[in-house]
Amino acid sequence: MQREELERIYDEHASCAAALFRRFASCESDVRDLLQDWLVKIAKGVDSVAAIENERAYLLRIAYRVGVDWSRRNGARQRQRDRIAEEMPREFLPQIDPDREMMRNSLEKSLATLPNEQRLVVQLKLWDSLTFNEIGEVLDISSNTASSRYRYGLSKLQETLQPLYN
Amino acid sequence: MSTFEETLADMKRESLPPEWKDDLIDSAIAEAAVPEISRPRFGGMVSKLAWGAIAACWIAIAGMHLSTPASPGTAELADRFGIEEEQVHLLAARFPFAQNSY
Repeated sequence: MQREELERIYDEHASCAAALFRRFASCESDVRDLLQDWLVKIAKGVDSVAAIENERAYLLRIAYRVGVDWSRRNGARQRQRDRIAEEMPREFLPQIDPDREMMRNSLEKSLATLPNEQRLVVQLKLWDSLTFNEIGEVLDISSNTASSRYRYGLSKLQETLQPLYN
Repeated sequence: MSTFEETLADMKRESLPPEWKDDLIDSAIAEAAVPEISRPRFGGMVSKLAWGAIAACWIAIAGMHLSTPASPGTAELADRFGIEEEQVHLLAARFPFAQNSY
């Protein structure tokens, strides 16, 4: 694969892949390692992604598999994830408006309380703009399962964030 | 999408540290260029050696079997010592260790 192609993929999709890797990793250097594995897989596996119908879903599927493999290899480290989660950088950009900034803080805290499978679906739907079919392909689940996990996750977020949102 | 979902989706993600990009892409290209050791070829060689060893064992076992003289039958022993077959059976039961020494 050409360097320019890999740079374009990085520019367009690396932050989505990194957000997905944060669900597996215990610190930011792990996220960097996972990004590295992901890019190597892409560089080795495909000459061009131009022919792929949904590039983001395809690349996030590779990312998910990289994350699952990594998680299996690093089971013990994974168990420490909660303990050292505060080392992770913030997920969303700071907001100028104080209300939005409060919303941002609460959103990050609320997301952290969701079970991983719900959180993955919520982030793939809301911030990566995938359909439930695409989420199903990325996570190896049915679109119905993706949809119900999303509804559960969203209703939990709504419970905690509604006072700020109104 | 409800307005609540839209509000959440409006939150923009932090971007990755800019210094990561070149490092990661350089390393990925370098690593992708390294040819992998072909496992099936190595595995195939080991497999051929294993099958060859098994075949050699069988040939050796067959050779030993053919080179060892067969034990004489009851009738042959009775004839050789001038006794009845029934007596050969009785002797075999009485002295089992002597059966293969003829």
